[in-house]
Amino acid sequence: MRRILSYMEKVKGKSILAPLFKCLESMFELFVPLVIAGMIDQGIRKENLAVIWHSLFLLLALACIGCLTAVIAQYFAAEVAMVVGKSYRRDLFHKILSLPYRDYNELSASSLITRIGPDIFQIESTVNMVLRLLMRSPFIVVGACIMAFRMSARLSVLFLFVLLLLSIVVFGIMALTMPFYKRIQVSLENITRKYRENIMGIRVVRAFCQEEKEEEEFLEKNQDYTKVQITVGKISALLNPMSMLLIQFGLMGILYFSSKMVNDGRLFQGNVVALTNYMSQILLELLKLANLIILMVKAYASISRIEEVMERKNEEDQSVNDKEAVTLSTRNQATEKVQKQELDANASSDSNKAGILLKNLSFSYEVGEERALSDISFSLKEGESLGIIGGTGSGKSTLISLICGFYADYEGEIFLWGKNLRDYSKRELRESIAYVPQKAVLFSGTLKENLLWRKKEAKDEELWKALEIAQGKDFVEEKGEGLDLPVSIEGKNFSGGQRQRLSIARALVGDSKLLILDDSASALDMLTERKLRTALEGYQGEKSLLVISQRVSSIRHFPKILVLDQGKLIGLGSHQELMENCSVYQEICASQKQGKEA
Amino acid sequence: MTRQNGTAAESFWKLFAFIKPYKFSLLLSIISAFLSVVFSLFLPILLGKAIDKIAGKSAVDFAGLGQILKLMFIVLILAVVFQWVMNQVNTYLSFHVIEDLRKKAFSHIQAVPLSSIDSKEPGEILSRLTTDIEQISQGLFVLLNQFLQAVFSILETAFFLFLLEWRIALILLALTPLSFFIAKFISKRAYLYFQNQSKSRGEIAAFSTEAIGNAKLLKAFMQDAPKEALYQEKNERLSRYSMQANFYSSLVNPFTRFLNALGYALVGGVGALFCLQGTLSIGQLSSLLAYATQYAKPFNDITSVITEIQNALAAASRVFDFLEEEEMMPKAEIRELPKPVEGCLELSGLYFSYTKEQKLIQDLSLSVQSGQNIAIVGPTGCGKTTLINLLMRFYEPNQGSIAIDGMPYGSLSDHSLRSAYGMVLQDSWLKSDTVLENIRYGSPEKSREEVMEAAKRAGCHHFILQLAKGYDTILPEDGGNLSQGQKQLLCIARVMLRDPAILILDEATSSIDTRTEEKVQRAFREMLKGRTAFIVAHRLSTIQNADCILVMKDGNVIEKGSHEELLQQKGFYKNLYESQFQGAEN
Repeated sequence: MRRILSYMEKVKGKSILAPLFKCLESMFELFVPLVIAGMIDQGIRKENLAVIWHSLFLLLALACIGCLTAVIAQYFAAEVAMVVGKSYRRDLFHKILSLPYRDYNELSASSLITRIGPDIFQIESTVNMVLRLLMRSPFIVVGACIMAFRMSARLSVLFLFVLLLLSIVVFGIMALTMPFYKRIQVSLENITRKYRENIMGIRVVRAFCQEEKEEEEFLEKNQDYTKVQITVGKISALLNPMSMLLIQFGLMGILYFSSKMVNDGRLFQGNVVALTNYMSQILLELLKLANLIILMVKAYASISRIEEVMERKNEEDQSVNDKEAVTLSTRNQATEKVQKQELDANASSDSNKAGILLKNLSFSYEVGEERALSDISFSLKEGESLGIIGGTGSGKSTLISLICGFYADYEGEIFLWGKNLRDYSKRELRESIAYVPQKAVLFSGTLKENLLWRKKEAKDEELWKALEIAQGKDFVEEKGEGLDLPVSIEGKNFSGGQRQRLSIARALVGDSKLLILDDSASALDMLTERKLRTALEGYQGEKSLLVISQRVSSIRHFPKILVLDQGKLIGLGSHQELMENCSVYQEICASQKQGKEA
Repeated sequence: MTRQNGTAAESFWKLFAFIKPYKFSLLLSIISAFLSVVFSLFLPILLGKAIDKIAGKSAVDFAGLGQILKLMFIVLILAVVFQWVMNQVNTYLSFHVIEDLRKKAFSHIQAVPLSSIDSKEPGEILSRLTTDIEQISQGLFVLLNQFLQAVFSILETAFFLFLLEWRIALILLALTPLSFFIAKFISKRAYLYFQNQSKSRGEIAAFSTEAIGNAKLLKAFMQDAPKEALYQEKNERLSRYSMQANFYSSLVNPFTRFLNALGYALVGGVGALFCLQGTLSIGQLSSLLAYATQYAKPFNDITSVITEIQNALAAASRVFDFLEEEEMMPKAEIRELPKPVEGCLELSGLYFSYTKEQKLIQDLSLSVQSGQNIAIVGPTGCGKTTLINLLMRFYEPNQGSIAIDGMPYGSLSDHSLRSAYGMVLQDSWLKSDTVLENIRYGSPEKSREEVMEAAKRAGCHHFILQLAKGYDTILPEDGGNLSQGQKQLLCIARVMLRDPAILILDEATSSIDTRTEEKVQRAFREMLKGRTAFIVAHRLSTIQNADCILVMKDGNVIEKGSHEELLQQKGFYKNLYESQFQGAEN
């Protein structure tokens, strides 16, 4: 809420003027029955033509001014809502891209997308409506009562009574139906899920002959949904008849009570007409107010969902805060500092030899959860390459993520080329490391735009060179559009293998000291992978190469191979050494070739 | 324009077919709507009459007023009751019609040939079946609840107006076209802006889906700032269009209200003149004024409802497009496959292609003995999966035939044919249900113990026990937190429990690491013994033991034979094989 108010503050004048003009408009509306009453009592009954003309003119003037003020109000309201929506979207997008990696695992992409899409639209249109109606409706209701009071204090009691009953009915029905909306939502999600499951899994459903069972399950969910909807419908169906009943009773009450007063001469006929008019106005505005409140409740839910994201810490803040927390909380920070300096000194003394140095590295994705990596230590000389192998969930990708600096809160230390990873700036780190992620994704646009990610000013020749090494040149050329080849969303217009090759090429553009391939050739056939490997060897030069793979054949030629199993380092050495002393490695090899080749 | 109207009308009648079973409810709804409007519109006349009885000091006719109040009470009760009946019936009617539509859509999914699912984006079908059907539901509801009432209100108000004072009725009537004209003018402008807005919304949604879905990647390449700048550009554009669309559409309201106020003023003024002349009573004037306030409301309702209905009809045409895709014909002559199934297959002269332009499988013949293991290898797009589609009869061949145990496919029911098979696919599909039910999928008669036995053989018993509620853990859609490998193991357990005569393994172990695979393979080998099987695999190591290996390329079987035979042929297979074990031979 506070954030929305702060956005509105930027267009403060308009945020105030919009409801203000709305109030003006409703004030003019409230005058109308008065004019009519005057026309009847002063004009018709006293046969004064001038008053009638005068009233007619007044009514027309009120209509014009009312319209004008309304248009101005709508304009301001639309503009304020637009500013709120725009600012909120901008800030949320920025926030989402500033979250630490950990949060992406926790918040699903689709939930984030709902927040930045439909949720903000909901808020935007609610702001619009609130500016237009939140002041207007109560203003008219209260105004009508005051007008009634001015004409007859006694009858205004009747007004208040009807207003009270009406509010009970309108808001009571709203309160009764509200809890059902959650159930409707859940029920609808069930139906959607059933549809999605059956579309995605149609082969399995048919293969296992489960069509009828699925239909039965769907039927149940479908009926359930209809049942809730009808329950809510039945309650809401009471709203219109009941409010009409109350208002008409009110009108009849006015007629009944005013008849005596008119007879006694305490009230005029025109006043009676005006009072009945006010009574009808109250109903309309109360209904609008009820709808507005439903809107606001929905928008509030959207706001809380968004704020849940906005209140998270940013990536950078977090590491800084953590560091501060560490330094503040430890009483013997001096000794720690010394220790760190010692470590750093050790590392840098080896710096000419050590390219990558890991000391007692441990990491878990969630506090209290099992460690994804525990106590990993090893070192690589500058330019030395490493293959990493292990089963699914052994921690291979986690290790890479830590070296790339994606997670700051690991235990132990990482040194890259003699400098502690924690002291690297993001830019420096990204420029030193070229990374090919496991999931090959390109972004919509052109191929060239994608390839320029690591080096904005790279020349076309450099891009072609990268494509050639990544074994992507042939098929790119075949498509005949060169580097301007269009890329659709997430690169879906390429096959899995093609995407992998292009995402390798992307990492090869520009300079780097370390090239990391995270199982990046899994979709390539053996022939292509072999060609890629040879090309990479030629390209490598002074760079270190870090390759994760599930295939022994992809890493066995590395002088150093690291074997991970359930987050622990259980083997490090050449293929030959590991074949002798690492049983898991032996098992992996055995599982990948049968008998005689081994 | 006319064409569009044509399709809208078509959609309307198609939708009407779903309403037809509820025709009595519909009739009741229409009658109630008519009567409730008649009675509630009669009230202002009575109100006017009552006011005439309260003429002024010492001029109140109490007896007459009492009479009128009694009458008002009766009319009011009738109006209220009919309105309530109408609301009830409409709720019942619209939700049941939509329920039927959903049900039809679901059974349609089960009944169409696979090609009509495969040829579309799943998200696209889904949005038709969910968002679009919801839209229809909305449209139906407002059609019944507001549209009919609004139409009746206009007609009946006009009737009562003429009854009261025809000259004043004419004044209001003259304003009607003006009101429509303004609404139409504004909504036409607004429509253009709305189109811009929705296009721009689509753009920004696609952009943010891509960026947020791959936020990690963007940050790894420091592309977050440039993407943010691009986003802001789109954001600015969207905001501009939204503002225009919202403002223009919000103009309808003040302007129709203005016309309303204009009508009100004219009725008041002219009415007052008539009162002076003595042709109109003050009570009648107040009745007229009451009508004048309400007069614009139904017009407003209709303009807002019409967009809703148009949207609903557009949605309906998308839904019916899908629903009208031809369903599979029930076979004229269906026989059951005699049990036990031997698993002999005879493929003769098969031709198949998904599209006319691109030929795929051509003249494929193959005979498989009972208990033979057939492996299929080849580069992507060579037709491996297509062959499986034909074997499972997900697709019908263009030409040629397949026979199982000597019985041609054409004569067998789908169920009887598919019961002979057990299939594990590369994409492991799990439904949101318990682990137990997921493994028991397709063999509901199996006991809990049998399920656990199968899970043990597939090597997933261990991790299932680690789940919060073991076998009774409810998996969220698509397996939730389970890893790809774990999901695949569950699918393997599912097939092991089913114990089919013929096995199809399409990259069944692709997401499992080789060490785990080795364990599953042991179980598979157990299963494969004495069973006809088709195995598609990337890793050649997994298929070396097959009785026969088919090497496919561009839809044709180019080599065929056992592992040793193929190596001796020194062809495509040898090449593939060597590249895989390059490392081992160095």
